[in-house]
Amino acid sequence: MTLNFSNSLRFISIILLSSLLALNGCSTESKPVPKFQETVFTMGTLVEVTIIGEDEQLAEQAYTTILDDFNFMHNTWHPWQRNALRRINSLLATGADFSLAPSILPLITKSQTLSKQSGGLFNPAIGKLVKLWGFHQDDLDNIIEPPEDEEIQALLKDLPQMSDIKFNNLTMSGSNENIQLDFGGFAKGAAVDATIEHLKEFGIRNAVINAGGDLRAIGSHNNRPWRIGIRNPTASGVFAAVEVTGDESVFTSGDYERYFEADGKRYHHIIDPRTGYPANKTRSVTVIHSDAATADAAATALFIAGPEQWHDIATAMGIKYVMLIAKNGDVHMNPAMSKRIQFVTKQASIKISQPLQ
Amino acid sequence: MRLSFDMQATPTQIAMSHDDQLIAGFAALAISIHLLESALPSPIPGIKPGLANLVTLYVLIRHGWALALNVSLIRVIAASLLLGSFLSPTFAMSLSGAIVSLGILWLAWHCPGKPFGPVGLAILAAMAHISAQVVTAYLLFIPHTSLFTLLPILLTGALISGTLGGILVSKIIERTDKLAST
Amino acid sequence: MNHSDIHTFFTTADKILFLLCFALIVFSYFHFWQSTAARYAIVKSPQQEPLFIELNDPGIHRIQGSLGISKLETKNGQIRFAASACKNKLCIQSGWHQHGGAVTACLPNRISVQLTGQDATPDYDAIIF
Repeated sequence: MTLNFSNSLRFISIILLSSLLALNGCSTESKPVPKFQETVFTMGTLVEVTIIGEDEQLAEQAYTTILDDFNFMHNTWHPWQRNALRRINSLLATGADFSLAPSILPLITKSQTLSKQSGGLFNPAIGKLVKLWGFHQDDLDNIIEPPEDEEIQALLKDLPQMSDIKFNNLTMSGSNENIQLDFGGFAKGAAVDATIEHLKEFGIRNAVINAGGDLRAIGSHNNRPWRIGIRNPTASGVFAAVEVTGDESVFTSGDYERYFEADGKRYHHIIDPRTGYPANKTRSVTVIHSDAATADAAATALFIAGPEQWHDIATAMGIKYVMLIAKNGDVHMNPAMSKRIQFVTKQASIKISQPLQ
Repeated sequence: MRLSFDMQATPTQIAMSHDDQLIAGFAALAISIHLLESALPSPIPGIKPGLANLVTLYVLIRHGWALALNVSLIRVIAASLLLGSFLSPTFAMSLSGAIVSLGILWLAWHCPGKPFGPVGLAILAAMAHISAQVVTAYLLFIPHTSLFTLLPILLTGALISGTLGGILVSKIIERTDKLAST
Repeated sequence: MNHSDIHTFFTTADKILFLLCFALIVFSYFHFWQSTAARYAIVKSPQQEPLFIELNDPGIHRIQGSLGISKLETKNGQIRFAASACKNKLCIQSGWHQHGGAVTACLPNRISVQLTGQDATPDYDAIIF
């Protein structure tokens, strides 16, 4: 075949055709789907909001609204700022009847149910004990040392329970003068629930709200489930991954989240109401559940329950997916959870429990 | 006393075979082209018209692979000595490019039925040459994977220069064949 | 030597080779320009405008936060807190980050670092810990 004009022309057209085909094959993969993602400091942590497949203006509007939600909830539910909760706490201590506060009531009623189910391990009524340790503050830099054992024992003598709050039609009262409500292990979940519901009201169907490592995801990521990476914060990289879809929350409790160090020992913020000291059998707990508030409370309760008791507590609270990492590094899971978790790095010891009903 | 000198041993002329003459001549040509090219400014480092490689290709087609090997290696070493870049990074890249493309050419040239023409050979040589240079650069000098973002651009240049160079070499072969047969 | 070995200058094999190389080059654009295309981190701090840091560009960046300076180190598509004014240094302990979409922060210093996942498919949509 000689190099002449018509042959060259034929050749060039083949090139063009094949390149068009090649490019066409590649472009369908990267069809742009609107993705809105913003991170903001609020509720004392870093909150990341992701909204998929919605008009940018709508996403912006929804986002600004829930920012306001977060600020409002943070201020209203903060245990020790000047707000409705503080007022309620002082009134509860008196034992007198007072009118129900609409902003706090849902937290109280839900906490009562969860506290009962968790056998008292999740107990927001021990605010005084939390304050004794200093974990009620946002900034833990001021804490120098743990409290005296006598002080702890004194509070344990008649430890308040959520059941010490009584309702009487339009009023409520407390029957233990030591009651102080601190929704630290619960408020984040409740806030995430409220903001997700608000997003749904905007008509948004696919979104994730990740509040400092605890999240609730609705819908899916553009025809595939949301891929969530689970990280050990004191080591680089993700060690496990889980996929969520529909409407699910993934919450973790860990001994690394809030803590102070004194005399070379680390004291973290998850206090066991039975001992008055930070629970010390667990490193972290990850829970998957539908609503975030329950997931938050369950993560706390199961952390305190530890490797021996978590199964019973999870059954009582109706939790279907639990992963607990014990102090010695053993990974405990129920069968359903082990099917969902994909480990990225090899785990030394995995213990699968009985199924959770 | 009689001093006798063996006249034949006087080294006024080293006996050269025909092949040696060819190598010398082509190497000289390739070196000159290489030197001229190095004077040209290059928009992206590593992109050169690669005309010296065409000499290698011509030698391969008309005189076989062994001669092409000689011409190519002599060109790389001599040119780097003349330019003062002997044993420098530039030299390493030049050498690796030359060796790998010669290897590919050996394979292509010894394919049963000799399916490739000058254009095909030039394309293979150019693509192999540039790929080897990028890999050498990555292994020895710039161990960043971001280096490979240059690869598509360099490969495009190699394809173009290989095609054009191959066409050029085929025209030259046509002419020299004609000259040889007259 | 045998110049009659080449009597056709633009053989069929040549053409096939050209097409293959062309396809290979197109593929290489998509492959190399997608996964290693400029990945960067968005650093937000209350004291300054959001800063965009190229992850493949090695270096140390000083960021002013509420408590003081945090130093962010970038190398080979990764970023980490190298130093920070906070007390517990949790940010430093979280190590190197490279997953698209990953977020890390120094909470006490109010500095957040978000890795973009826009040019490449992010490995994870969210990260929990």
